[in-house]
Amino acid sequence: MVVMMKLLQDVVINILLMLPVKSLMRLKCLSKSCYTLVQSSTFVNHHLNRPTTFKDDLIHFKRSIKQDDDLHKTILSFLSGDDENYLSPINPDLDVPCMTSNYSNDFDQFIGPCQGIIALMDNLTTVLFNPSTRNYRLLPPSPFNIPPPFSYAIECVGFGFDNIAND
Amino acid sequence: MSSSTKFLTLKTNDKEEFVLDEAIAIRSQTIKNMVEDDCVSNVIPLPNVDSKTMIKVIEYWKKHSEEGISKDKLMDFDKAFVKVDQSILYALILAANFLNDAEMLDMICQEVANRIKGKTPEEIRKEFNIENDFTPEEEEEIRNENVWAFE
Repeated sequence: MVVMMKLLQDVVINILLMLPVKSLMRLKCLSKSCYTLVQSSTFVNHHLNRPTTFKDDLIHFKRSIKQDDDLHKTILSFLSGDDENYLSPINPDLDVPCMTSNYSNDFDQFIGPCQGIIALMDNLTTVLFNPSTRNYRLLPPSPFNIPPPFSYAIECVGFGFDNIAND
Repeated sequence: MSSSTKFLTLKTNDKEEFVLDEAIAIRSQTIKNMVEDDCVSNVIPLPNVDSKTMIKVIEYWKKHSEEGISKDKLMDFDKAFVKVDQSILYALILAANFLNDAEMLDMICQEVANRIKGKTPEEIRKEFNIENDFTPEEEEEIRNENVWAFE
Protein backbone atom coordinates (compact mmCIF):
# COMPACT_ATOMS: atom_id res chain seq x y z
CA MET A 1 0.00 0.00 0.00
CA VAL A 2 2.84 2.37 0.85
CA VAL A 3 4.45 1.68 -2.50
CA MET A 4 1.07 1.93 -4.13
CA MET A 5 0.30 5.23 -2.48
CA LYS A 6 3.36 6.65 -4.11
CA LEU A 7 2.74 5.03 -7.46
CA LEU A 8 -0.96 5.35 -7.95
CA GLN A 9 -2.42 8.04 -5.81
CA ASP A 10 -5.53 8.26 -7.96
CA VAL A 11 -6.19 4.55 -7.54
CA VAL A 12 -5.84 4.86 -3.78
CA ILE A 13 -8.22 7.82 -3.77
CA ASN A 14 -10.60 5.76 -5.86
CA ILE A 15 -10.53 3.04 -3.21
CA LEU A 16 -11.02 5.46 -0.35
CA LEU A 17 -14.00 7.06 -2.09
CA MET A 18 -15.76 3.72 -1.84
CA LEU A 19 -15.51 3.71 1.94
CA PRO A 20 -18.14 5.00 4.34
CA VAL A 21 -17.29 7.99 6.51
CA LYS A 22 -16.84 5.85 9.61
CA SER A 23 -14.01 3.85 8.05
CA LEU A 24 -12.41 7.04 6.80
CA MET A 25 -12.44 8.54 10.29
CA ARG A 26 -10.58 5.45 11.44
CA LEU A 27 -8.09 5.71 8.58
CA LYS A 28 -7.15 9.18 9.73
CA CYS A 29 -5.06 7.79 12.57
CA LEU A 30 -3.07 5.38 10.37
CA SER A 31 -0.31 7.73 9.36
CA LYS A 32 0.31 11.36 8.57
CA SER A 33 -0.12 10.95 4.85
CA CYS A 34 -3.46 9.17 5.33
CA TYR A 35 -4.60 11.93 7.68
CA THR A 36 -3.69 14.69 5.25
CA LEU A 37 -5.36 12.89 2.37
CA VAL A 38 -8.65 12.15 4.12
CA GLN A 39 -8.77 15.57 5.73
CA SER A 40 -8.09 17.52 2.53
CA SER A 41 -10.94 19.57 1.13
CA THR A 42 -10.41 18.10 -2.33
CA PHE A 43 -10.99 14.62 -1.01
CA VAL A 44 -13.97 15.69 1.09
CA ASN A 45 -15.53 17.25 -1.99
CA HIS A 46 -14.97 14.16 -4.08
CA HIS A 47 -16.49 12.03 -1.37
CA LEU A 48 -19.51 14.30 -1.06
CA ASN A 49 -20.14 14.24 -4.78
CA ARG A 50 -19.34 10.61 -5.41
CA PRO A 51 -21.96 8.53 -7.13
CA THR A 52 -23.56 6.25 -4.59
CA THR A 53 -25.67 3.19 -4.93
CA PHE A 54 -27.58 3.78 -1.74
CA LYS A 55 -31.26 3.26 -2.22
CA ASP A 56 -32.60 5.20 0.70
CA ASP A 57 -33.05 8.80 -0.13
CA LEU A 58 -34.80 9.68 3.07
CA ILE A 59 -33.15 10.12 6.40
CA HIS A 60 -35.33 10.42 9.39
CA PHE A 61 -34.03 12.92 11.85
CA LYS A 62 -35.15 12.60 15.42
CA ARG A 63 -34.56 14.93 18.29
CA SER A 64 -35.36 13.63 21.68
CA ILE A 65 -35.19 15.64 24.83
CA LYS A 66 -34.12 14.04 28.02
CA GLN A 67 -35.21 15.72 31.17
CA ASP A 68 -32.94 15.26 34.14
CA ASP A 69 -33.91 17.38 37.11
CA ASP A 70 -33.51 20.85 35.69
CA LEU A 71 -31.55 19.91 32.62
CA HIS A 72 -33.01 19.54 29.19
CA LYS A 73 -30.64 17.44 27.20
CA THR A 74 -30.87 17.19 23.45
CA ILE A 75 -30.11 13.91 21.81
CA LEU A 76 -30.06 13.62 18.07
CA SER A 77 -30.53 10.42 16.16
CA PHE A 78 -30.37 9.81 12.48
CA LEU A 79 -32.46 6.95 11.23
CA SER A 80 -32.85 5.51 7.82
CA GLY A 81 -35.86 3.60 6.73
CA ASP A 82 -35.99 0.56 4.51
CA ASP A 83 -38.91 -0.97 2.70
CA GLU A 84 -40.61 -2.54 5.69
CA ASN A 85 -41.33 0.71 7.46
CA TYR A 86 -38.66 -0.15 9.92
CA LEU A 87 -36.24 2.51 11.04
CA SER A 88 -32.67 1.68 11.83
CA PRO A 89 -30.09 4.06 13.20
CA ILE A 90 -27.36 5.13 10.80
CA ASN A 91 -24.96 5.97 13.52
CA PRO A 92 -25.10 6.14 17.29
CA ASP A 93 -27.14 8.87 18.92
CA LEU A 94 -25.43 12.16 19.39
CA ASP A 95 -25.55 14.07 22.63
CA VAL A 96 -24.97 17.75 22.07
CA PRO A 97 -23.77 19.60 25.17
CA CYS A 98 -24.12 23.06 23.65
CA MET A 99 -27.81 22.40 23.11
CA THR A 100 -28.36 21.55 26.73
CA SER A 101 -30.01 24.23 28.76
CA ASN A 102 -31.59 24.39 32.16
CA TYR A 103 -34.80 26.09 31.31
CA SER A 104 -36.29 25.02 28.04
CA ASN A 105 -35.48 23.44 24.80
CA ASP A 106 -36.75 24.95 21.69
CA PHE A 107 -34.36 24.43 18.88
CA ASP A 108 -37.34 24.33 16.66
CA GLN A 109 -36.14 25.47 13.31
CA PHE A 110 -34.53 23.04 10.97
CA ILE A 111 -32.77 24.24 7.84
CA GLY A 112 -30.99 22.35 5.14
CA PRO A 113 -29.51 20.13 4.14
CA CYS A 114 -26.94 22.04 2.14
CA GLN A 115 -23.81 20.22 1.04
CA GLY A 116 -24.55 17.58 3.66
CA ILE A 117 -24.89 20.08 6.49
CA ILE A 118 -28.01 20.85 8.45
CA ALA A 119 -28.71 23.71 10.82
CA LEU A 120 -30.82 23.80 13.94
CA MET A 121 -31.70 26.99 15.68
CA ASP A 122 -33.70 28.68 18.38
CA ASN A 123 -34.20 32.34 19.11
CA LEU A 124 -30.64 33.02 20.07
CA THR A 125 -28.32 30.40 18.73
CA THR A 126 -27.68 28.40 15.65
CA VAL A 127 -25.90 25.07 15.55
CA LEU A 128 -24.57 23.49 12.38
CA PHE A 129 -24.35 19.73 12.04
CA ASN A 130 -22.67 17.33 9.76
CA PRO A 131 -24.62 14.10 10.31
CA SER A 132 -22.04 11.88 8.65
CA THR A 133 -18.98 12.94 10.60
CA ARG A 134 -21.11 13.79 13.63
CA ASN A 135 -19.38 17.11 13.95
CA TYR A 136 -21.27 20.11 15.15
CA ARG A 137 -20.39 23.73 15.51
CA LEU A 138 -22.03 26.52 17.40
CA LEU A 139 -22.23 29.64 15.28
CA PRO A 140 -20.88 32.78 16.89
CA PRO A 141 -23.60 35.27 17.87
CA SER A 142 -24.58 37.92 15.43
CA PRO A 143 -22.17 40.84 15.34
CA PHE A 144 -24.91 43.44 15.31
CA ASN A 145 -25.57 45.44 18.44
CA ILE A 146 -29.14 45.82 19.49
CA PRO A 147 -30.19 49.11 21.04
CA PRO A 148 -31.74 48.60 24.51
CA PRO A 149 -35.48 48.88 23.92
CA PHE A 150 -35.37 46.07 21.40
CA SER A 151 -34.68 42.49 22.18
CA TYR A 152 -32.74 40.05 20.14
CA ALA A 153 -34.43 37.25 18.27
CA ILE A 154 -33.59 35.39 15.14
CA GLU A 155 -36.72 35.00 13.15
CA CYS A 156 -35.64 33.76 9.82
CA VAL A 157 -32.40 32.44 8.53
CA GLY A 158 -30.98 30.84 5.46
CA PHE A 159 -27.63 29.41 4.73
CA GLY A 160 -25.83 28.42 1.61
CA PHE A 161 -22.66 27.21 0.05
CA ASP A 162 -20.07 29.49 -1.44
CA ASN A 163 -18.66 27.43 -4.26
CA ILE A 164 -15.87 29.86 -4.97
CA ALA A 165 -14.49 29.95 -1.46
CA ASN A 166 -15.61 26.36 -0.96
CA ASP A 167 -17.18 27.26 2.34
CA MET B 1 -12.07 -2.93 -39.12
CA SER B 2 -12.48 -6.27 -40.83
CA SER B 3 -15.08 -8.67 -39.56
CA SER B 4 -12.81 -11.70 -39.51
CA THR B 5 -11.23 -12.56 -36.21
CA LYS B 6 -7.89 -10.91 -35.71
CA PHE B 7 -5.39 -12.04 -33.15
CA LEU B 8 -2.94 -10.00 -31.16
CA THR B 9 0.18 -11.20 -29.45
CA LEU B 10 0.86 -9.73 -26.04
CA LYS B 11 4.27 -10.07 -24.47
CA THR B 12 4.64 -9.73 -20.72
CA ASN B 13 7.75 -8.50 -18.93
CA ASP B 14 8.92 -12.06 -18.25
CA LYS B 15 8.96 -12.76 -22.00
CA GLU B 16 5.83 -14.90 -22.13
CA GLU B 17 3.64 -14.46 -25.16
CA PHE B 18 -0.14 -14.58 -25.16
CA VAL B 19 -2.14 -14.82 -28.36
CA LEU B 20 -5.53 -13.27 -27.90
CA ASP B 21 -8.58 -12.44 -29.98
CA GLU B 22 -8.41 -8.73 -30.72
CA ALA B 23 -12.08 -8.26 -29.77
CA ILE B 24 -11.20 -9.45 -26.26
CA ALA B 25 -7.88 -7.66 -25.94
CA ILE B 26 -9.41 -4.28 -26.69
CA ARG B 27 -11.20 -4.42 -23.36
CA SER B 28 -7.94 -2.75 -22.44
CA GLN B 29 -8.21 0.89 -23.44
CA THR B 30 -4.43 0.98 -23.74
CA ILE B 31 -4.40 -1.80 -26.31
CA LYS B 32 -7.48 -0.42 -28.03
CA ASN B 33 -5.73 2.91 -28.55
CA MET B 34 -2.73 1.15 -30.01
CA VAL B 35 -4.89 -0.83 -32.41
CA GLU B 36 -6.85 2.25 -33.47
CA ASP B 37 -3.70 4.23 -34.06
CA ASP B 38 -2.28 1.34 -36.09
CA CYS B 39 0.69 1.02 -33.80
CA VAL B 40 0.37 -2.73 -33.64
CA SER B 41 2.92 -4.45 -35.83
CA ASN B 42 3.20 -7.92 -34.44
CA VAL B 43 3.86 -8.19 -30.73
CA ILE B 44 2.53 -5.78 -28.11
CA PRO B 45 4.94 -5.47 -25.20
CA LEU B 46 3.44 -5.10 -21.73
CA PRO B 47 6.40 -3.95 -19.65
CA ASN B 48 4.36 -3.52 -16.46
CA VAL B 49 2.62 -6.89 -16.36
CA ASP B 50 3.99 -10.33 -15.56
CA SER B 51 2.66 -13.56 -17.01
CA LYS B 52 1.06 -14.79 -13.79
CA THR B 53 -1.03 -11.64 -13.57
CA MET B 54 -1.78 -11.67 -17.30
CA ILE B 55 -3.26 -15.16 -17.01
CA LYS B 56 -5.72 -13.83 -14.42
CA VAL B 57 -6.51 -10.76 -16.53
CA ILE B 58 -7.21 -12.85 -19.60
CA GLU B 59 -9.38 -15.19 -17.55
CA TYR B 60 -11.42 -12.15 -16.49
CA TRP B 61 -11.62 -10.71 -20.00
CA LYS B 62 -12.74 -14.01 -21.51
CA LYS B 63 -15.46 -14.52 -18.90
CA HIS B 64 -16.74 -10.99 -19.33
CA SER B 65 -16.77 -11.35 -23.12
CA GLU B 66 -18.80 -14.54 -23.11
CA GLU B 67 -21.99 -14.12 -25.04
CA GLY B 68 -25.28 -14.35 -23.18
CA ILE B 69 -23.73 -14.81 -19.76
CA SER B 70 -26.09 -13.73 -16.99
CA LYS B 71 -25.33 -10.90 -14.61
CA ASP B 72 -25.60 -13.23 -11.63
CA LYS B 73 -23.03 -15.57 -13.10
CA LEU B 74 -20.65 -12.67 -13.71
CA MET B 75 -21.12 -11.48 -10.15
CA ASP B 76 -20.30 -14.92 -8.81
CA PHE B 77 -17.27 -15.02 -11.06
CA ASP B 78 -16.09 -11.61 -9.86
CA LYS B 79 -16.54 -12.63 -6.25
CA ALA B 80 -14.39 -15.70 -6.70
CA PHE B 81 -11.93 -13.79 -8.87
CA VAL B 82 -10.93 -11.35 -6.12
CA LYS B 83 -10.59 -14.00 -3.43
CA VAL B 84 -6.84 -13.99 -3.78
CA ASP B 85 -3.83 -13.05 -1.75
CA GLN B 86 -3.12 -9.36 -1.16
CA SER B 87 0.00 -9.39 -3.36
CA ILE B 88 -1.88 -10.85 -6.33
CA LEU B 89 -4.63 -8.30 -5.83
CA TYR B 90 -2.08 -5.49 -6.03
CA ALA B 91 -0.48 -6.93 -9.11
CA LEU B 92 -3.96 -7.00 -10.64
CA ILE B 93 -4.58 -3.37 -9.70
CA LEU B 94 -1.30 -2.32 -11.28
CA ALA B 95 -2.11 -4.35 -14.39
CA ALA B 96 -5.68 -3.06 -14.67
CA ASN B 97 -4.40 0.46 -14.21
CA PHE B 98 -1.71 0.07 -16.87
CA LEU B 99 -4.03 -1.70 -19.30
CA ASN B 100 -6.64 0.92 -18.51
CA ASP B 101 -9.59 -1.39 -17.96
CA ALA B 102 -11.87 0.78 -15.82
CA GLU B 103 -14.44 -1.91 -15.17
CA MET B 104 -11.91 -4.37 -13.82
CA LEU B 105 -10.04 -1.72 -11.85
CA ASP B 106 -13.26 -0.58 -10.21
CA MET B 107 -14.20 -4.11 -9.26
CA ILE B 108 -10.83 -4.77 -7.60
CA CYS B 109 -10.80 -1.37 -5.86
CA GLN B 110 -14.18 -2.24 -4.38
CA GLU B 111 -12.69 -5.45 -3.02
CA VAL B 112 -9.80 -3.56 -1.38
CA ALA B 113 -12.31 -1.11 0.08
CA ASN B 114 -14.32 -4.04 1.47
CA ARG B 115 -11.18 -5.42 3.07
CA ILE B 116 -10.52 -2.09 4.77
CA LYS B 117 -14.08 -1.46 5.92
CA GLY B 118 -14.49 -3.47 9.08
CA LYS B 119 -10.91 -3.35 10.29
CA THR B 120 -9.26 -1.54 13.18
CA PRO B 121 -6.39 0.85 12.42
CA GLU B 122 -3.88 -1.70 13.76
CA GLU B 123 -5.19 -4.41 11.45
CA ILE B 124 -5.11 -2.09 8.46
CA ARG B 125 -1.55 -1.00 9.20
CA LYS B 126 -0.45 -4.59 9.41
CA GLU B 127 -2.29 -5.74 6.33
CA PHE B 128 -1.23 -2.85 4.12
CA ASN B 129 2.18 -2.39 5.65
CA ILE B 130 1.68 1.23 6.65
CA GLU B 131 4.14 2.81 9.02
CA ASN B 132 2.67 4.74 11.92
CA ASP B 133 4.49 8.05 11.98
CA PHE B 134 2.37 9.64 14.70
CA THR B 135 3.55 10.00 18.26
CA PRO B 136 1.26 8.19 20.71
CA GLU B 137 -0.08 11.57 21.89
CA GLU B 138 -0.90 12.71 18.36
CA GLU B 139 -2.65 9.45 17.61
CA GLU B 140 -4.64 9.65 20.81
CA GLU B 141 -5.78 13.15 19.89
CA ILE B 142 -7.04 12.12 16.47
CA ARG B 143 -8.82 9.13 17.98
CA ASN B 144 -10.51 11.38 20.49
CA GLU B 145 -11.81 13.62 17.73
CA ASN B 146 -13.85 10.75 16.40
CA VAL B 147 -14.45 8.36 19.24
CA TRP B 148 -17.65 7.07 17.68
CA ALA B 149 -15.78 5.69 14.69
CA PHE B 150 -13.93 3.26 16.92
CA GLU B 151 -16.94 1.93 18.78
